[in-house]
Amino acid sequence: MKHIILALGLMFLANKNFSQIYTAKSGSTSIAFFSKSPLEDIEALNKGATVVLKSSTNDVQIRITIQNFKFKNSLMEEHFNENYMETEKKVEVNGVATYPNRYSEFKGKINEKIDYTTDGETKVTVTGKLTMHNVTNDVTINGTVIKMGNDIKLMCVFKVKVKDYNIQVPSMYVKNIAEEIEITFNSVLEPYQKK
Amino acid sequence: MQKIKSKIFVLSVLFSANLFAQEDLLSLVDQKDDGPRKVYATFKTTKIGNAQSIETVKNKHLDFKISHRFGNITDANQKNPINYSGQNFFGFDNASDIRFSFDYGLTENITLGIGRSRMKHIIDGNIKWKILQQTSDFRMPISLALFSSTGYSHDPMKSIYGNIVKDFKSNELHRFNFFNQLIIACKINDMISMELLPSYMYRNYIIESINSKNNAADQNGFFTLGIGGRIKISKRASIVGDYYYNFAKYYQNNSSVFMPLSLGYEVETGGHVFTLLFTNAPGLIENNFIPYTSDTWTKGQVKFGFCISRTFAL
Repeated sequence: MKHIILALGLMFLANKNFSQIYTAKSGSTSIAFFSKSPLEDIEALNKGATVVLKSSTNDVQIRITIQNFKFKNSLMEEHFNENYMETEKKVEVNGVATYPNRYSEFKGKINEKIDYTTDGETKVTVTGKLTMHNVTNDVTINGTVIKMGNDIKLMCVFKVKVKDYNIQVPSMYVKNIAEEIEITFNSVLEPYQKK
Repeated sequence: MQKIKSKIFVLSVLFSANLFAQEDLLSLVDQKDDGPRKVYATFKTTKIGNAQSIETVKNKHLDFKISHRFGNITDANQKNPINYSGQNFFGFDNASDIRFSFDYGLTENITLGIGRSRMKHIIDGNIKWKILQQTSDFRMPISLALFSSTGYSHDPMKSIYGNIVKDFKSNELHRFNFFNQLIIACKINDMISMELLPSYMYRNYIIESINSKNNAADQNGFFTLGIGGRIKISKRASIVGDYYYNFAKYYQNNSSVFMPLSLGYEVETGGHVFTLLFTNAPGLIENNFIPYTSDTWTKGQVKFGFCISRTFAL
């Protein structure tokens, strides 16, 4: 009997932890990138991402689908996927086909303490690992966390170097594609409810 | 009973412990998808060399093409082929065909095109409709498209009818010719794409001619099968080639009409695609190069040609 009470108690605790997990509200996330160069400006918008924040540990994890980046010029979109991000590049792992370039992931922690019980804005730094084009780098990103009622808003703007992620730009296009790409991320999170 | 209880206990401990550890939070919400996706970029542009590729122009985009075929590099039929080459600067002095064309992506899968060719003065309208798209796991092993082209020759009537003695009235409809084909394409891997093009050619009016070797007469309509492909040599450059085989008896072993073969190099530079190729076909559209290729590789009657494609997002 004692065991059952203990078990139930632990399950309750587990559930409580569950409620400390926040995920993105549908349609509230946008990731845009912007490349400014002497010859042309290139921008694309990604409206879907998986965003998870665990308030008890300050863990933030984000996954985006590369093919969801939409460009005004669809030919650019095709070249982005085919020539630069190599989205559909197949890698065999133990004989199973995987496509590591299909996703980009960030896994990190917010360094500052945030009071999730009261509304307000906190400037934060987030340190973690950013994986893109099957290359992982340690990054620290400046951002803002805003608590509004039940929701948490995450915002940040940061730059990544194309070279750091082994994305090759032929010398012919050096003037078309910036060395550093600016990435803008916005998302509104709500407490996670298991479906 | 006791056993079950302790199992529950262990499970719940594991469950809660798992949540405290540095875990993969993302997998709580969704899973990565390594499943099949639609294959894209089987070819770089809507044409391979002479033949159509499976590609359509992107939705609301306009593809402007300038295509050109120079004259024969050399010609074994000439008295002195080397002099012939030199005097015509390897064919650069002549133009077998020049074509300007616009292709517009009505939707992602339907392209409407219009073009004008110098050879036989043909204005052509065409449509390409991509019906099936290959998937990366080969459950759908091919992409399939339908291509249909109608040509209208604005030649003077006397050159449409040649020097024949006419015992019938001139008819505007004799200016038309039609070409329909299925494009079956497969992107085998990142490097290699292949295509099969079963097609039917129909010309409303033909000048009667007979293959002296087998006494077969030319026919208005006949079946032809094209094969094409590319091998990528870098991310942006590939070797391309295509060939058409005409099934009509008239084209078998004919000493004045041959099957078109092209071999070329294609490079994509962002918005442009440049195709540089060698071919025996003088014409640029199916309605010309399938029935009227009067030159052959074996006699060195090969032409240099190019195509410049520029895509605009409208």
